[in-house]
Amino acid sequence: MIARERLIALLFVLPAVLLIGLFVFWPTVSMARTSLHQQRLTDAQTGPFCGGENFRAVWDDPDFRTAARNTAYFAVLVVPLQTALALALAVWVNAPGRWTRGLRLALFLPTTLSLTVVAVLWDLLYEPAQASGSGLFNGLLGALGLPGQPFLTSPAQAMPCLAAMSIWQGVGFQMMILLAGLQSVSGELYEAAALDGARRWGRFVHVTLPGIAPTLALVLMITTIFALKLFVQPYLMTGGGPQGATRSVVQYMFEAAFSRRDLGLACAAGVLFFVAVAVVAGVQRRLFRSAEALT
Amino acid sequence: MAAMLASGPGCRRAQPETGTRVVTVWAHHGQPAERQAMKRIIAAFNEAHRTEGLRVSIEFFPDRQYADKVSIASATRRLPDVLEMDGPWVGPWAAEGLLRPLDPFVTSELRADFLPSILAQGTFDETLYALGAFDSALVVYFNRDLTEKAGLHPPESVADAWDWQTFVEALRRVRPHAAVPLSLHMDEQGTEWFTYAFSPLIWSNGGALIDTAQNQVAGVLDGPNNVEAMSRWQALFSEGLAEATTTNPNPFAAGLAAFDWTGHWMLPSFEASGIRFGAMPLPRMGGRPAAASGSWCWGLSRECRRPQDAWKVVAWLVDPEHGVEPIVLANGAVPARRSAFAWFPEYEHMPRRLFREQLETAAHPRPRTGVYPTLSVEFARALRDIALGHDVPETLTKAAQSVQRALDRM
Repeated sequence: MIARERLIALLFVLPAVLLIGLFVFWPTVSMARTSLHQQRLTDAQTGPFCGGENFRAVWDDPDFRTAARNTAYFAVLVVPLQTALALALAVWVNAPGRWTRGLRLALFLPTTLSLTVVAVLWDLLYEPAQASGSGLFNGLLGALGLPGQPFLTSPAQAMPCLAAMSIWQGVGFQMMILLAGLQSVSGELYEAAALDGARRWGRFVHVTLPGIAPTLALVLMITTIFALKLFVQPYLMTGGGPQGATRSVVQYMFEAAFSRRDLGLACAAGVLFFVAVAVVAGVQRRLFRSAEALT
Repeated sequence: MAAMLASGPGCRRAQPETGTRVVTVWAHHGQPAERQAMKRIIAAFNEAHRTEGLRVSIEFFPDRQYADKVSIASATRRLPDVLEMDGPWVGPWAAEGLLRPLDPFVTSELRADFLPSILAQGTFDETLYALGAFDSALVVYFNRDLTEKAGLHPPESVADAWDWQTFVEALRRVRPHAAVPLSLHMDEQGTEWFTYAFSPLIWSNGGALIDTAQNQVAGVLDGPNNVEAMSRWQALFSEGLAEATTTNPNPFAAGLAAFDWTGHWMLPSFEASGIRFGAMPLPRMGGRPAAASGSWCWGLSRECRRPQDAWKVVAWLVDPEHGVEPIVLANGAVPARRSAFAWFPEYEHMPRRLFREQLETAAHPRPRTGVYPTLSVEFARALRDIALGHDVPETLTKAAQSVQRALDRM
């Protein structure tokens, strides 16, 4: 009987195991293998083994270092802001009110748009003020009598502009997850806290936050991983410029493979990126565990 | 039966009935009219070769993913017999061994009928790998109403091309009359436009993007002649004669721009706009005239099963009557063969006379090298930064070093 149940259980997990193995595990292993070989994009056969040479080339490449710095900067801009904003919005739309359903929908809507579409639209919004026409933002600034801004054409402003757009597009998704977390916090706890004389802020810090801590940890980790995978925004909106200020690690990998046609180099960068993301996620998990242990 | 099958191009490696030899062909989507014309050209080939038992099966792929598609097909050994490629890809794909030389099939008589720019584009390492049915032309269009107001008389032949100083002076004079003195299409997505459109400034000034003989980009792309040419180009933006960023893809057709630095493909929109306009050759940055060239062309793949049959297909695609005439009629590009101009009397007159003249006398192909995709991406990035006012020598040096690093690993 037990053997039979095991067999059925195995059958149930088999499709997932096969698909993940084929489309996640095997490509990852294959990438790691290619990263140790000299391999051009169009080569039908694997090139000669070259040890850590590809990794050294990636590490010594100033373009990769710039891309790594840019990507980290983007994550540092996006993760705290987007999570805090998502939490604030979730609390806002969690309160009972006439418009909450509509608000939730409106805030979630950008998430349903393709990032490509959003990037193209915001590219137009950010256009500088020019004789042949201005972007909407600069038009508004002009109407208010404020000086026009270069936005995407300034090395200092470009990355914050991409971050702002990304937050607008992504915040609704995190808001929804946090909203689910908020609704699972028992109302009795709030009543008890209120009886103990806790005010709004006190209830938020001592009831809400501990109640949604696991959800918050999940949201932070997902947002971090999404932020580190930055690609579409610079690829479509700035081409990685101006002056390389928005070139990301994934864009570097893409160009290493399809422009440089250096598959070994691209895979080495991919392995480094994989390890970096795993380390960041691992550190986050440990931090949350110890934080949970404290409460 | 064969004729019925022949009328259905696009069915990949369809099982041929016994005795039929199938040649597989990959092409880029292009404009709808172009694709329809291509299908008709292939159908005509199949009809003409039915008794021979030879048939073409053609497949189209989106333009933007085309190069990636071919590259990946090479890695998995799934290349077609005949493949189309954009001019700058001849270098990388010849270097990577994807292409088979055409020299054994091309007689000197046939060779002499092609525009020199097409032969140059298809040649890598002194071997011919590709031939095209058409080429592109890049000129400076001018709005007659606006230039007449400014008292300007733009030249109409390469020999009379303005030098840079005269060109800039003309832009200054037309500025009071035009919202945009010069349109440079800096809004173009992708990178190829920038390398295509502005490399002639480098060549005219005696510079180069790469020294292919020495495999050297550092010290070449950022050489003194290039720094000089690009600094003068940058002054167009800092002086407000051209826009470094723009939301308007076609200010010339709207009557806003006095001059427009663009290709043959914009001509129909200008003709439809109702403005009075002319075309002049690219101004000379330095001592010699230089013009852009290059477009889609055809070659045989490494995996080509029956080269003789495949060559018959390429020969048909670039044949003046069967290939060049119908495709040029559809896409408005410049015929690649001298004998094909007989079908296009408009090349006796401006502005098309200038298209041909520039290609015959001043055109350069973009560099044919394995590192071209990286070179083009980095040069385009540098041009965008330069247009935005960044330091010219520093920007060119940074680009040159990025390309050199890629080159040193090849």
